[in-house]
Amino acid sequence: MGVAQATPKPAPRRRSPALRKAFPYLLLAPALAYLLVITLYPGLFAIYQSLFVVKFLSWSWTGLGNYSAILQDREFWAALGNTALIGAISLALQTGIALAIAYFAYRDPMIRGWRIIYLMPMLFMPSAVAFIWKLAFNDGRVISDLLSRLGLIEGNVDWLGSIWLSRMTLIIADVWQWTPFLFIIFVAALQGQDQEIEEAARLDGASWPKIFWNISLPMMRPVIVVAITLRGIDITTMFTNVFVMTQGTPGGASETMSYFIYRQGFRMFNFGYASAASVLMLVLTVVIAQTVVKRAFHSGKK
Amino acid sequence: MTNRLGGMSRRSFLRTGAAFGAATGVFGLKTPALAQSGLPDIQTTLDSISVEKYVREDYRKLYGLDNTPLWDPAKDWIRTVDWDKVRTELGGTTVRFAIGAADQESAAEGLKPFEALSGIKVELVPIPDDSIYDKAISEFISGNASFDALQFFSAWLGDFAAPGFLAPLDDYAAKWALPLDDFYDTYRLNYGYFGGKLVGIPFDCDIQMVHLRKSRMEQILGGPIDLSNSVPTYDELIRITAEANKLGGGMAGIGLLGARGFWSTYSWEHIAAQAGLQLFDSNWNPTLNSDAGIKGLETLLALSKNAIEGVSGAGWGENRAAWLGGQVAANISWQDSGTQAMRPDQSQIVDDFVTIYEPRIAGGVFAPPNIAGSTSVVTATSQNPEGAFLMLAFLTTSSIMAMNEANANGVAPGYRSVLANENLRKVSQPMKVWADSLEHAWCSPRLPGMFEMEQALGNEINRAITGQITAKEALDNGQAAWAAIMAKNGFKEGGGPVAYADVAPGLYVGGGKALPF
Repeated sequence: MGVAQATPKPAPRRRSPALRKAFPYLLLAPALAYLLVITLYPGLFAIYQSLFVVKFLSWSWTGLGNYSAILQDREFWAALGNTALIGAISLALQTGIALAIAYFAYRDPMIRGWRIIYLMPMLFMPSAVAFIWKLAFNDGRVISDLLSRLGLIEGNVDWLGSIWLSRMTLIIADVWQWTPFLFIIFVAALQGQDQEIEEAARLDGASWPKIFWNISLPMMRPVIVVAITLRGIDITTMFTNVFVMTQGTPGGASETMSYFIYRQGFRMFNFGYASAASVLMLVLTVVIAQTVVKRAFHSGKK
Repeated sequence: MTNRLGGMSRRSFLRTGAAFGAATGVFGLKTPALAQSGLPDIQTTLDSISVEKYVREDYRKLYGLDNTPLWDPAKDWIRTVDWDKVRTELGGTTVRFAIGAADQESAAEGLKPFEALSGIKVELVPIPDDSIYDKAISEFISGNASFDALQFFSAWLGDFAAPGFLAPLDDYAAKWALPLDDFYDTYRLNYGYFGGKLVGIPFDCDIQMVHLRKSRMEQILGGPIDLSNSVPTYDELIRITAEANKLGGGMAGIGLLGARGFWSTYSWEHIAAQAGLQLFDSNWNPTLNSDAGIKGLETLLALSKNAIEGVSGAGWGENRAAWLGGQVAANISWQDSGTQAMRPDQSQIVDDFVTIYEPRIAGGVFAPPNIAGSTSVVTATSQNPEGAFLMLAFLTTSSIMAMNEANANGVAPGYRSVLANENLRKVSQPMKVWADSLEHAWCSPRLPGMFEMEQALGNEINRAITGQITAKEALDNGQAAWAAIMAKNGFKEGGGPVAYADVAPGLYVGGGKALPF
């Protein structure tokens, strides 16, 4: 009986040490090139442009002049305050609502199968959503009409005439469209948790609210932080709703930073000034996001 | 990387191609007979530019329009110019016309008769509607604009004209007998001239007016509306719009443009002009917070209290929808609110409105405001400025402008001969008042930076409308912003890129004239 002879394995192709070293970078190169062209170059260009007074091709050096002017600009501070205020309220509402719905819904088999339905508002084009809300609040008087029929108000509400009502319209539109984003993340996080923990707590006689509050929620903390950070960054760039629904009315009380930057760049044609405002906004966003994430994860480790 | 095309580099290919193009261009100019061959008969083409062909069939039926001209043929440039001479001198050349992308198709159709009459080929360069300013100015600065002619918002004229981006048109206007004297002075001076030179041909000649709903206002006034006496003052307008507001029924007292930016500025200018507003002194110092300015803004604030909800966010679109939809008992807006309201396909208030003479303000003047509008220009770097001029003269000729008005498409004629035409007045309700008003028109100067100034001031006025600051504070803030923007644009110590004396005659053309009523 002959012994079966194993077919010799072909020797692995040996890459040169240089190629081996370069290989990971080569894999990264396309993504890196994309990032450089799409993100880094415009970013660096904006920083460079922010040091000039720019009127199209006429550039004159001003150093930090644009930054100094912005920091004394009432409209900049107002826009920053509005962004923080509208963003914070909207984010808090979205988080609360999304958590509440997720708590009630995550065990439901329907939710598992039909998660996509809850995503519907997110799937609509933001500008179309903004126009619908504009129609509902202002042009079509739909909300006023409904409230009037319910006997809650008399006549039509001037949603754009009041600072808080105007901000409220933006918040409602944002909450309507983006709560599903947080909801879907929270549901996924809850469904991903070890069911044995819940069952053990149930055997110990804990109620569902107690389980959620004392067990599920703390375990979700990193997910919540990441979700809120992502949504928070997105909210700081809120533009479409402001552009379509209020244009910053009344008197700039609903103007966000993105709209302020747009207005400076494309209505007033102060490109250097707009770039400086963008740079400041970027720095601020990065610092806040970094602080929030760092703190959340740091205390989570503790 | 060098692209090779049959042994030539891409660059050398383009250079050769350009040289060939230039050579054929010259050849084309020198051999007009060749270019003209196959061109249709001039008179036949002119006859086709008629009411029957240009005005919508439903409007013709509605108003019983036959083919009778809605203009004065003796003043209609396309019927007076020597097209044979045009063909001889410019046939076979090309003109590139920059136009908002949305209008490209209609413009292409509308320019076919021009191509037939002149033998000049028109190439349209579409520009996204919301980026005409930046696209245009970028191309101007590059020194090699991809178009010969352009039509734009008249507030930008100073930005384009002061740096020398526009070709002077005086010689062409004289050579081809453009009927400049038929334009109302306010348009000729403000949309046409800059620094004493003709640089534009007025295109969309707008004026703001006051419109009333007959049924509601006759109820309040106790009888039929007299065009000049029923609402003689702004105080009376404030009173009746407050009354109208109380009546409810889904109809607010008044609609006006109160949104941030230039919309609010325009509403303030409209009213303050009646109080005798002058935006600058003779040294180019802004005088927004003068007594007239403050009176105008206080009047606007009083009116806004009677206005439809959402007025602080109302631009042209929102205002137009509220007026034509029957939601307001009075409206301060452009003349087309008074034309479009007649058309059943655009309006729910047909036969229930009237456009009145401008109400007055004690101590002020009768100064109906020429606000916004558009003009058309030839670029200084144009390779065919004369052809471009002729194309613009065709587009703005009185017959086509009259038919625009008959179609109620919002492009307004600025010719005396058109606004005096009795046939056209039958299809444009405000036209009599409009024509009379233009002889007294007020206009803000088209300065470099004017659009930015209008935006900055409008933001402050909007704050006043929404009760965040007083009228005085808004105008003080606006004035400071104007001074800063003007300094940035070269106005220093009374001097600047524009001589005040050149601009002054156009600011108010009604001085010393008898009132039309």
